[in-house]
Amino acid sequence: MNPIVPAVLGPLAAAVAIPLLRRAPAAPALLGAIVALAAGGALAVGIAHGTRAELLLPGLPGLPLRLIATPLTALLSLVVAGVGTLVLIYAVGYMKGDPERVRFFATMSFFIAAMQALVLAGDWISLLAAWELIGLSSYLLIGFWHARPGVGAAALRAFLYTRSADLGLYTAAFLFIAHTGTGVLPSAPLSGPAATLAGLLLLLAAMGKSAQTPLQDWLQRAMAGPTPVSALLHSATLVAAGAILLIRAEPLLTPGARLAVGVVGGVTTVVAGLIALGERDLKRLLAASTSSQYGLMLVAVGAGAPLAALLHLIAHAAIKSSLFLGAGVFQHARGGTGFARLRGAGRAHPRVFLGFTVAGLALAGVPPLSGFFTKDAVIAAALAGRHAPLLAPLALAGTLLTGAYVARALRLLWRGAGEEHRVPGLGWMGAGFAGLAVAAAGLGAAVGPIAAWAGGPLPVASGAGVFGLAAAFAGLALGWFVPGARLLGPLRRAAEGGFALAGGLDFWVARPALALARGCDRLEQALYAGVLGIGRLGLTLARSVRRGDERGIDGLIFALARGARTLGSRARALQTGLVHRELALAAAGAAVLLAALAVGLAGFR
Amino acid sequence: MTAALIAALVTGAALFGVGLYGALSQTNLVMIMMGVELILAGALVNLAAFWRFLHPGAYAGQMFVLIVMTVMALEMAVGFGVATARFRAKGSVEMEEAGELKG
Amino acid sequence: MAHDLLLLVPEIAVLLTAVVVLVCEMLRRPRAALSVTVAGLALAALSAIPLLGVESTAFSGTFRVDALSTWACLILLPATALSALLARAELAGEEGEGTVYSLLCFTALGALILAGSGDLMLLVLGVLLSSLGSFALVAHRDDDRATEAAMKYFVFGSVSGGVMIFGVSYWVGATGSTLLAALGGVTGAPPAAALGLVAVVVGLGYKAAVVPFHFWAPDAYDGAPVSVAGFLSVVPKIGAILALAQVVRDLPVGLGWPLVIAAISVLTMTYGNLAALVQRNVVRLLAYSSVAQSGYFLLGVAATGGPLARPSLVVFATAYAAMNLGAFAVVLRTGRDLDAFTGLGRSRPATGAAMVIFLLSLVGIPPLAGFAGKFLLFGAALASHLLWLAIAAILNSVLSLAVYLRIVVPMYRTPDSAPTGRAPNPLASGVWGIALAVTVGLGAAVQLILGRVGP
Repeated sequence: MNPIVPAVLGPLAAAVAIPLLRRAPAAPALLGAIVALAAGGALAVGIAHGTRAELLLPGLPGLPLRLIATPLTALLSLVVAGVGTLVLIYAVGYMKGDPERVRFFATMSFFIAAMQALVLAGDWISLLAAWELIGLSSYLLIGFWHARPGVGAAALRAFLYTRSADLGLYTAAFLFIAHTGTGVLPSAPLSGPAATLAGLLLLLAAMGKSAQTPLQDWLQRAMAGPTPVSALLHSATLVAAGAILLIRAEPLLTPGARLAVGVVGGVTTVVAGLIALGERDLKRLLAASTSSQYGLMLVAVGAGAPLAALLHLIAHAAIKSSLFLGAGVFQHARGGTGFARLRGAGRAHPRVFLGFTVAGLALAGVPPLSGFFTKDAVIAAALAGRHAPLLAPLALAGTLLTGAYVARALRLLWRGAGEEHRVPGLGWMGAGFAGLAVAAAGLGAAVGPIAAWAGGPLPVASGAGVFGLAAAFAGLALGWFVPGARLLGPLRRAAEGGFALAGGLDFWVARPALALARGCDRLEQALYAGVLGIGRLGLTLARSVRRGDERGIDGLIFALARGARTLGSRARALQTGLVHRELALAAAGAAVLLAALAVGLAGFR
Repeated sequence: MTAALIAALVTGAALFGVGLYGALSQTNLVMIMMGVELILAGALVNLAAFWRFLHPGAYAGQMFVLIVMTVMALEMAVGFGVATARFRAKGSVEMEEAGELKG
Repeated sequence: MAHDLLLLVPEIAVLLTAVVVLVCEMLRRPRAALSVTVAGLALAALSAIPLLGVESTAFSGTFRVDALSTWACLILLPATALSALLARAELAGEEGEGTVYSLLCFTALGALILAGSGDLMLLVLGVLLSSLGSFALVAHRDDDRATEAAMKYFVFGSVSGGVMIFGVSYWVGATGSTLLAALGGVTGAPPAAALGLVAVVVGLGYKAAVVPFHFWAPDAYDGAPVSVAGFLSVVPKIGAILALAQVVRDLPVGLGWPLVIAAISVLTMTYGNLAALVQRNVVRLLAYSSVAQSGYFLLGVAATGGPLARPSLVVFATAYAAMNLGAFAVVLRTGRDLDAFTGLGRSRPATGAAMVIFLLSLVGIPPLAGFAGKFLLFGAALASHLLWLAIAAILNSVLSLAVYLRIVVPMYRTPDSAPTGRAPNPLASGVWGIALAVTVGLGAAVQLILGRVGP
């Protein structure tokens, strides 16, 4: 059998079976994910032996739906299924006792199936379909605890942000199909301005899904969902979809579009890094960090090294999911993820803290952990690329900030003390967590083989390693030694903290950084207000449309009608049946139409 | 174009205008139905005039006249049916007393 | 003559069914009436299958037998049969149950005539036939709300119909013929052409519930039995949309009709979605949503002449009929108030899941039927160089998500009080089961349909 079929159908069947069986929902979910994992492995083995699996389904005329396994797609499928399996193992413990387990595991399985379809998609239409499906299932997962205050709004915001950006993908796909006459991926590159336009549209879609500045706001608010959801969304699935799209479409990008991708990524990595530094909630810090890391991947794509982006994506998938899973344990232990609650949580759970630290250091890029190698590749790509003077400093700044916020989080978890709760289901959670943490630590050894297998040389640039290491360690030192309270103080109220007296380092580094972070925060608030304003406008419009029958446009027409009728029955002038107003509106509509046509015809003649 | 055709078309348009005004301004279902009849009468005058003065050879115009007459008859029958049902349920066929369904 | 009759076998079968059903009702045999309705409509639909691929006209060009009219038989007749089953589930034992089935058949016949009309007279008759049946169906319950709804519907319908007849009389004057095929000749008299176009838009727009001629729809659906509301939102609407496609096919483009239709399309979907956003009565919400869906249909009409126009209309009509009837079937079992839906997904998981699928399909989420239809419609608009129209439609489908999620979200919330839904009804469940199968399966079968529609 074609291994592509079980890769998608395994989790999908689980998603269908779970609500039907209703008992022990975790078992079918795990089974489905493992089937997908095995299928991903089979695809990879097949490719190693030189066979490329392909699945053709009937679709639109001349545009069949196509799922293909290339080295790239098989690898991604493997990553998705692997992370998915481990997160599901963890979720068995995390969701223990939740009355909604059935819905949770069914949606998670569906999500994994949709993501498998996305990474394996071999034409634009299946890509679009899968893209929509992961958007929908992520909406359902973020809004999982919809009864809690603010959760529904968070889910809706996530969906609105990503869906508005999806417009880019739709238009780009139409452009490609219209110009090349076929939906096959990878398409032939376009020529002329259409090519740049298509590239920018793809970038827009990726910006929405991968939470790039200025569309990063939704991701942090999406933390309202259960922690395994965050782990999966942030590592290998929803957020990854944007980067995956750009990695797969990299050959289609024109130099101009590439520059735009790199700049957006670079700006995001710095802005989101600053936001992470200013956070007071561990999960929100991790969320901002996700935007920042995806920014680095976009830098690599912009510099023309999609392979470096891919490697960083894989390493980040393991790292970020283990960080989230660790945060989930702390969350259960302390009843929340606010910094105030988490003080010293690491000391109480030393093994979890060890895993969290390993993953954190890997994220910061400390050798010999995985992040070191992949970040090195990204920085090398930025240095060797066409726009090195622009992109390389941004990538290095992002690395510095990564070190700073990682150190800050670690310090916070280590110092201080707080009230402990008993954590149920620690065994399952620990198993999933340990698996991912080991992957986060050890994936570095696989960088060379993966690069060779995916068929491209890694970018090399002299000094990349030195610069990267220097930035990472400087960031770590900064984050550890500048006390958290001082970093936090001015965020609450500038006057409260002894911030201005802290001395040189604070003054020159922390304060501008925080001011910038505040500025970014304000910008975000403004953007948010804008989005909210548009929403409110929509609602007002809707209300006025409903009342349109009684007031508004109708009032005008009715006033005219009343004027004519005063001559007749003065007594009834004030009351008419609703139908009359409606008919009058309809007649007015027809008259407008007629007038427009008359003007048009007169103009044409 | 002959003057007679113009006169007929003006008559038709006038009938239509009066009918539409009636349908829009009257509040009694029966009066609205009379307005509709006038609209259709305007169409009848138009069709007859076009056939007589422009296309005397085309029998389709005459057919259309017959069809419109059928429409008039059927619409009146159903209209009175609706009016009867309404009268039984509510005791009046005033449109302005029908405001329960809205929004 | 005999050949002409052969081409009209489905329509004749529907007419005979309606008459036999009426006889059954006279004999006080409502169950037999239902059986005859379903069997007769099924036979009529089957008899349309040999006509697939035929491009011809009957009776001197007055009736067109083409992809649109044949597929109208294949879509609308099963939809009517399903509506009859729903009506049985809702109205069993009531006075005049058999007349409802008969009226459903007559109204469907009117819609079929509309979909195949090749002549202005048939257009007028189709509007008349489908309107008269609808008025009586809305008034079925005879109570205050029903008669109010019927009265408003009647006033709106008779005035719009009158305006249409008056307007097209100018087309007859300009071309000397009542055939749609002769409409190319209207260019000689631009004022007459414009008057006629506006009049046709008024008459068919009213039937299809297109803004600003839609005002009757929410009231009529709300006052009518739910099964009738479901029927009205599907069968006469699709008939009118296809009739509009038949009319504009022969109209010279220089008249500017693509722009007119496109503008109305944007207006319709935006207004429908916005108005649906604030409804608390699910029937009214679905009424406004069906107004919005008419706007999507108009994309396919505006693209008439393009290669994707006809296939997109047929596929979307199939999808729309299935998902809308399914949604109304669930409403029939659950209740009209939005509050009745609270906790539905828990108390009756299968029904809840089906409703979610219908609503998501109405949004256009892949791989459901609605996605296939909308995707083709967007494609048709793009192929006709109406990029702005496609973008407006895509934006609207974003907006529509908010509309439908208003039903979905409370379905998975814990209800404050015990659920008050009615007892399960196997007929209603059967109807939404069939609708569900089509909604889910059409996405995969779309290739099959497309192969049989042709450009």
